[in-house]
Amino acid sequence: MSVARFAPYALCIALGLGLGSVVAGQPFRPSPTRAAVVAEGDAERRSSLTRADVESVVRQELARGRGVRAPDGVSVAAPANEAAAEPAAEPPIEIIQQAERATLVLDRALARGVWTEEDVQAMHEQIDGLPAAQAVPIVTRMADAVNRGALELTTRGLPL
Amino acid sequence: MNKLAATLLLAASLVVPAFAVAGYKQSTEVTFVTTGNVVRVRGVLSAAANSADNVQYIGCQNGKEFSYCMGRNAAGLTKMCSNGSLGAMEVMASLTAASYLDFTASAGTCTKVEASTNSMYIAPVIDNSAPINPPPLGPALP
Repeated sequence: MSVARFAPYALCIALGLGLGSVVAGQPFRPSPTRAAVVAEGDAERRSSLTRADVESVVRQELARGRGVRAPDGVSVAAPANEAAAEPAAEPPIEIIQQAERATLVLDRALARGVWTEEDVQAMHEQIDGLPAAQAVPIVTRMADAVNRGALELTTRGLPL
Repeated sequence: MNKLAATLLLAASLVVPAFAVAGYKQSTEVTFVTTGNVVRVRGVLSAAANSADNVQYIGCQNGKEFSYCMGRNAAGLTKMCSNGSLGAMEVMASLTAASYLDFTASAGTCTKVEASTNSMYIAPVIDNSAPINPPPLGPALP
């Protein structure tokens, strides 16, 4: 027996589940990532794949919409629709430069070991308007330094 | 001597005209529990504000892209963390003067932020209108 032999069964199951969900009032939305069934090993190993294995993989993929690990070396590729799977869009050069200037403010303060009112002002100017993706790592790094005692806050008010 | 003591007692009762109106109160001041690189910071905002040391504070600063929380204990040590996730930022923005804040900082990131708002965290109300010991009535006026 081979995987190709079970392809019609897998197709029927997929179509059946899709039709079932439409009937139930929930439009079927196929995952943008195709469920790539990859058989490993030689022909003898591939022939050990049972009908239950194929059905299990198809059901899991349709139900969860994410990558699963099937038995006997059969793997299903992870979908590309998960945010984490897609590379983040590159921010504009102005944002990158602004983040670098904010990082420089922090680096200089870390070198001195103190966070002053001037640092507050300088950081405010640089971090204001930065997206979270750029701002949070800088503030987190600062917080970590404060918590470790590597950066002493000498400001009267808030440090940021 | 007894007359002097009575006079002092009377004077003391007159200079303490206020008393606290209170239900159940919990006034946990700012405390840290550190485990390796992780620190848990807790405290009641009003308790920190009303602490006698002029040092403690605890709270969060909320922005559009990120928020951060920080607390300083009586010893003057400061701990802080930041987070840009909507869930954490919503909690940080929910603080009031009647809040208890509990956050955990791991390498500078707020990995847990909890806020509780309850009457027990409201600072005791000082009522200046009623003295504790009203002065004794003097002789009736003619």
